[in-house]
Order: sequence, then structure tokens, then C-alpha cells
Amino acid sequence: MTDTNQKDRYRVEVDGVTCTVAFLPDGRVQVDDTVLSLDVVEDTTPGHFSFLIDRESRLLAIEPGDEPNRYRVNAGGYDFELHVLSERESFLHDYLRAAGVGKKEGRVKATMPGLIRKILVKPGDSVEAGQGVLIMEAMKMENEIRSPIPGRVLNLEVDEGEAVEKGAGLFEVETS
Amino acid sequence: MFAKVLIANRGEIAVRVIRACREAGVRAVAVYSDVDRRALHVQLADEAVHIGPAVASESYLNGRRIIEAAKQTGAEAIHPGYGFLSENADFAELVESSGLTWIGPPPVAIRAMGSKTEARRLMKDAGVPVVPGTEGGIDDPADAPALADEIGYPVLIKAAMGGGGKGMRVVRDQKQLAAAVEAAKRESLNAFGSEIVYLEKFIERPRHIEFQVFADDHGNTVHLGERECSIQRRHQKVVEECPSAIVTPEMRAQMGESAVRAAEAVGYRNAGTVEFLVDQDRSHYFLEMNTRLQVEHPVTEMVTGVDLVELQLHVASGGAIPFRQDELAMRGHAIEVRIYSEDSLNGFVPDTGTLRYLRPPYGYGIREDSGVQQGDAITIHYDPMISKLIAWAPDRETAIRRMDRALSEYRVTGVRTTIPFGRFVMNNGAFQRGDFDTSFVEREFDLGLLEESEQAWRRIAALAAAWRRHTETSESRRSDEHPLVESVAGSGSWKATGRRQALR
Repeated sequence: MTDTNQKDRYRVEVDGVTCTVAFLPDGRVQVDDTVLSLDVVEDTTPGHFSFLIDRESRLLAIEPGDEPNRYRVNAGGYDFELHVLSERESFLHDYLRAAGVGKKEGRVKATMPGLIRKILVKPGDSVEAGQGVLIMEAMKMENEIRSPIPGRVLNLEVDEGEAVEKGAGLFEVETS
Repeated sequence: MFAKVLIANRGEIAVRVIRACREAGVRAVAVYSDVDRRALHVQLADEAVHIGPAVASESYLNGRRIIEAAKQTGAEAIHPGYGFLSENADFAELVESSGLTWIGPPPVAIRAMGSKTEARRLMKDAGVPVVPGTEGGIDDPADAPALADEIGYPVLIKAAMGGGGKGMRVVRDQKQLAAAVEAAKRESLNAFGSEIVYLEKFIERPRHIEFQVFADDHGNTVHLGERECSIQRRHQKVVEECPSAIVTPEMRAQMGESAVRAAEAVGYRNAGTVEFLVDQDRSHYFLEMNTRLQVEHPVTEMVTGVDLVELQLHVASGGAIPFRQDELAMRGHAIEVRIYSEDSLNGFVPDTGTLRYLRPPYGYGIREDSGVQQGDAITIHYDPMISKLIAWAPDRETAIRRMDRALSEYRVTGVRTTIPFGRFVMNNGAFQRGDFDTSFVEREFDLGLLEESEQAWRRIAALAAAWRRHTETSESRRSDEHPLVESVAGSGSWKATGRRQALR
């Protein structure tokens, strides 16, 4: 990818997988090592696009995510959350990650809509990895939501009796 | 025929009944809760009445309010659809005592079939085969070992008032029996307010095959053939077909006769469904009777050519069934796939959200019964079924290919759906051979296959997201208005881009 302008090159992170996407001067696109032709038009429904990727027709929904440079894409009935970094940002990102800054792995979100039944800890409590933090009822079943990492409970974002939507933040644990 | 009918339901079944009413020249009255004011069933009805807040217990389950709405609009009859109040004998009684017609069976038939032990006893007396088991509930858990020995292991403990798999337990030997009976009693008491449980022979790997029946006020009871409903997840059907791949004309005649006898034994009227378990030897056993129209009724309609909802209206208004049993003709093959707002990759967990994009498939042989429109919200308040897709073809193989084609065209964004699962079933060898039973999902469903397909789409998604950011940044580079937008690309610049596109 030496002949592409670095402004036209991106690193995309999705579900722990990284791939490189470069937009070539001739209008084609390179995904990792594969060069593909690309034609995109917007559908009448906002946020929806008809892609012809090497002539293969795909309807894709693209919407902005919660934070800058994050996107949600629906492709083939599957939902993906992607982080798109420019070349410059990806260097910075790697550097910060190596330095241990900006880690947010301790934030737990609701994977389905439900009702908070019981909160088992207080902010400031120490928790082990796998220790129950709260009990959430979803699909008429009670599920214990556990801490993914050992650490200290930084804050609880919900109260007992509160109904939460899918994707809502539940609590944050800070590595001690 | 009635002049006006109120439909005490929402979603796709309300739409289905409203359509049948309007075709029959009957004015249709919809009811709706706070969150359903813009729903399709309200838009398609002739009249609509608000009945309460989103929570079903105060709207679609509020029988008094619904009867008030019928009175207020001058409706003569109430069609309950399925779910909600459809199998509530008290409500059916209230409808009738209010001087309205209940489009369904007599309350006494609903009640008889509502108790599993009572239904078993009635069926046995009527000569309908039932799964070998105890006559009534087990009063003393100490009696259980002797009863189980008599039936033969494995046995199934079931709740008399139960349904949906709750209170059910398989016991393979005597050692587990006492504890299992106690646990089933507790579960049944919590779920159904009754601790009556009974024992049945556990049928290994059965098929679930049901018969559509119909009875009128003129002494006619007929069946309209079977529906194969063995493809289930969490004890709930997801794929149904008519006819069943294993039912021969002789089997159909025998099972149909059992179904008609079951209906006659409880003085049944209108549409009903008799469910059977079919074991490995192709013997059938009465399971239960659903005293209402079923979700999967369209596959029967496509194959028999009978509009079941129109026939419900006709029979409820005093008409006779217009055909004899020997005139029933079945033509071709129909398959239904239920499209649920659920995540197939994650244990079929219900999903909620807004249907941002919705484009159902069309084309030869495809029918879609849907109750939603693009922009509608799928909420936790109601059933997560979005629609039913039905494919008809002259033969089963073509119907499967047609369904797979239709599913591949279906586009939904905003919620996860069971469309990938439906495609998995259509492409599965055991399903294609007709060689399956109710354990299909646990035996055949290979998450790996769906994940592989997800992986292929992941690269395409990565390309799409990068393209979006790239076009946003190159547009903002060209724009004098937002020279610094690159560093904050995201929702802000998204809106700016949208505005510029709108101005072009």
C-alpha cells in the first residue's frame, strides 16, 4: 500500500479483529491484501446504502456509534460495532494502549433488555473476577451479572427496580 | 354475517382478522394501547378505540374495557385472535353474557381443554389415544414410584395447569423420582398457582403434528389436515409446514378421525387445533387442544384453499361449513417461518429496538403476514414476533428453495431476527430429508455455521465503516464550513454530511 495517501488508509477494529482498508486513487478499495472495485449509492432510507463490491450487491446500514469514529453496521442481518482509526490515530492508540491509558474493559453493559432486581455490591467494594455484582431479570429468568475483572467497583449506573434497554451501561470496575 | 366485528388483539393477527372482515364486507374495529396508536392494525381497521396503557394487563388483557369498546362502537361480535384473551373462558363468558357473539368455541370447551388432566380423561373416554400415564394428579408423592413402575421409565412429570415446558421434568430412574416430583410441584405452584402434577410415559424424540379442526352449529365437525410443527426452540414453534413429510393418506385419515372425535367430545365449535405427539413407530397420542386460531394457520390455508378466518366469521354468525370431509383437497406444500426479533447467535434472546429498515420479500408463491411497518418499535411489552413468512409450491423441495430465496431477500435493520436461523433450517440436510423431531434445534443447530457466515459479513462491515468515515472526512475537507471536522468525525459530522446531501 505504498502508493496510497496515508489519509486514505484506515485501520478497522471489530470484535477483537483488525483489518486495514485503503481507498486507492483509481476508486478501488484494498481490504488487507485484496483489491476490490467499489460503487456505493445511498438508499431512500437514511443510513442505508447499496454497495456493489466487485459487482456483488449488498445492502448495508451504517450509523454513527456512541463515540467519535465508532460505527454500527448491519450486514447480512448481523450487527457489528466498529472502530475506524486513521493511520495517525492508530499509532497513537497503540502507544496509549501500551502505556496502559484509556482501558475501559471494566464497563459492563446489558446484553439484553431487562429489569434490575438486586444490587449485590456498593461503589468502592472490591470484587473478584466472576463475582456477582447485580441480578437482572430478563426473559422471565434471573441472571447474575458478574464482574469481568478483579478490581474496585467504580460506579453503579443503575438502581434496583430500574428497567434497562439492551446496551445500557450497568457498572464499571477499575483494575486495582 | 355480522355488520361489525371488534378484534381484541394487536400485531399481525389483528391485521389478518381485519383483512378477512373487510373482504367479507364486515366493518372492523381495532383496539389499541398507548404505544400502538400508529400501529398497522389501527391504520387498516375501519374504526379504532383506545383501551389503555402499554402494559397488556391494562389494555389487551382488560376484558371489561374491550367489551365497553364493542358496545361503544356497536360491534356485534369479538374476535380474540391468539394469545391475550383468546383462551380465557371467563372472558368468553363475559362476551356472551354481554349480548355479543364470541368468535371461538363455547367457554365450557375452553375450560375442559384448559386442564390437562381433565382433557386426558375426556379424550380417553372418547377413544382418542393419549400418552400412557396417571388418571389424575399425584396426591401423595409416596405413590409416585408404584405409578411410575406401572407406566415404565422414562417418565415425564407434568403440571396439570401448565404449558410452555414449565413444571415439566423427565425422570429416567426411580432414584430421581421423589425429588423431581417435589421440584415440579413447587415450579407449578409458582408458575400456575396449582401444585397438581401427573405422570406420563416420556416419548423419546417425538414429532409434534397437529390437526386443524372446524365445527359448526349444524352438527358438522371436519378436519383440514395436519401441520408439522416439530422445529421448535424453547418449546415454541419456529418453522411449520403442511402437509407433514411423514404423514401418509392412511395416517391422515386415522389422526384426522382422532382429532374430530376430540373436538366432538367437548362440544367444540369454530376453529381449533388438536396437537399430537407422534413417536418413532408413527403412533399418535393426544397432547392438547388449542381452542383458538393458531399462529401457523396460513400453511393450512395455502394448501387447502380455505380462508380459515373467513370461515370463523361465517360459522360464528350461524353459517354451516360449506364442504364435507371427503371434499377436502390438499394441493402442494406450504412452509411458514416465524420472524422473531431474537438473536439466533445468542440463545434466541429477545431483542428490542426500532425497525429502521424493513423490506419483506415478495414474488411468486410468497405470502407475508406482518403487523409492523418500517419505523415501528419492537418493545418488551409484547410478543417479539415481527411477521410470518409463508412459501407455497407444488412440492416440498420447491417450497424449501422458495422459502430460502425469500429469506435471503428479507432485509431488517434495527433489531436482530431469526432470519439467519430460518435459512439454516432450509439448508439443513435432515430438514430437507424430512428426518427430524422436536429435538432438531439441540441436535442439528450448528452455531458454527452461522458464525462462519457472520465472519464473512464482518469484513464487508469493516469496509463499509471505513468507507463511511472516508466519505465524511473527504467531504468535510472540501467543505469550508467544517475545516476541522476530521478530528471529531462521528455523530456531529454525520449530521453535517446529511444536511449537505439534502441541500444538493
